[in-house]
Amino acid sequence: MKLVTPILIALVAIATSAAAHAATARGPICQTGARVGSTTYYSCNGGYHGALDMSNGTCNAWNHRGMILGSRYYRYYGGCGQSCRATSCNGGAGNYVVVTGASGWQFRQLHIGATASSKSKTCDRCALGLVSSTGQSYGAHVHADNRRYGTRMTAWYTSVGTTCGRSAYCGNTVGRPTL
Amino acid sequence: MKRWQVLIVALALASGPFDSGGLAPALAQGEREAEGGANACPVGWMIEAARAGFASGSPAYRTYLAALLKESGLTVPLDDLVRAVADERDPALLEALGAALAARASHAEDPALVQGLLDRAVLDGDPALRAAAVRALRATGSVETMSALGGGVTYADLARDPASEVRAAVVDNLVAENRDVYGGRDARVAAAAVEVAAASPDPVIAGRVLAEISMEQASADAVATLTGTLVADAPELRAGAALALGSAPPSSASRHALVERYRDERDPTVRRAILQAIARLGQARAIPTLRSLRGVAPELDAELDTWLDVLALGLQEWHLILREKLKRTRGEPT
Repeated sequence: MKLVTPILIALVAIATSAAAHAATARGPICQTGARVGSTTYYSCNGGYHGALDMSNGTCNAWNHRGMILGSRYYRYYGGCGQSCRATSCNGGAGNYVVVTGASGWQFRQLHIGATASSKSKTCDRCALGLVSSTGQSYGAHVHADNRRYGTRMTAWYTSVGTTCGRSAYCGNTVGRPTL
Repeated sequence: MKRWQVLIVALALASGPFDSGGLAPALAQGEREAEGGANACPVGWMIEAARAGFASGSPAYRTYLAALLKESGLTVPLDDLVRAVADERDPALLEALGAALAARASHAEDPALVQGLLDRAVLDGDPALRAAAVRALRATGSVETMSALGGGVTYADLARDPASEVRAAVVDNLVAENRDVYGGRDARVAAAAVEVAAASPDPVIAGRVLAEISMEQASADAVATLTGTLVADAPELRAGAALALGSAPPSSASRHALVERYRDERDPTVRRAILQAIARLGQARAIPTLRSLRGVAPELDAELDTWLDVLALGLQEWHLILREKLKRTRGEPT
């Protein structure tokens, strides 16, 4: 009898720990002029995009910061250096980071300009590199998406009302990604 | 202005537009950050206002204050924050201030900032304060931080604390770190959990840390240790090791060890844990193995059949399988 409670607690806890949950994503650029340029559609009226593009109109000048509120493990995929023009590096993602959650969920930030800060690491909204244009990127920006088994989801930013023109400043919440 | 209004203003100022003049790591050429540290608020004033709020507020209000304090940790003067963490004697406030300091260390990628907090976790004479210092590190990448600081303090050390609240805080930290920071996938946290289980004098705590942490990225050495723990004296530990093996990388060796343990085991709760582990390791492919165990412990055949029913559904994610199993165990409609 004495073991029943701990085991049941363990069962419930495992069920809880395996479940995905909502995180909070802040803007990736600590400059108040940073804005969201694309959401579900490019420039909000073009082809399908299913992610946020955010920029402050500069290239390789400002930090590209981790967006998730709280410490997270950002796995870095590099090899693309810095660029202010589109390339095919890493299949178009350029240098990028992935935060892995439960049940196939991921949060990614793409097109990073590599610096000494660009590596896999655990941190809370730290510098991951520069706002750049590595990969299939037209105009330096931060691309952020929340995918499940590779499919981009959109509710993480629509649920908080993020649309084109909204501030992408690092003090502003732009979404609630599932992880 | 009322005290709570003063507090909100103070914390809002402190947690407002941040950057980080002094806290960012060395910036590479070309990197720029916003100007803005001028909003920093005197820490002493902020702490006293928070103290009043902690003493009088509802649990929800305390949670809110703790979140504000944590966010303010990115901008307040660092020396004042370090000093406040070193001097604070109220456990709730120490936990909140410590969390603010740990957040700053994580943001600035400077593990050394939490050394004082680790010192308090080890050296403070008051177990409530030691536990608060441990809790302050929750979900911050603390295993990596301790390693970066040279391993002078480890969770295995803290798990030997004579106070049960400190040991419980250790387990809660590892569980939160595994789940929130790494999505259940980190070899270092898995190794730390195995070390804590080995170091803890409390088999319930040791069993819990093994049961609740995903071993998805556990090393071969950690898996071997878990396999050995299947024959530990304490049933809590055997059950925890079984559940941990269930989440470890699948191997025929661990599956064989679980099956053999099920045959020799006498404790029904450990046997239940083993059935769950076998189901998790193999999912639908575990059906033949589970069928082979029918009759070994007749009192558990109903449990075994429930697993067979659930696995036959062909669900492809463990949390869905476990949910179906729990629904059947609780007699809920399926």
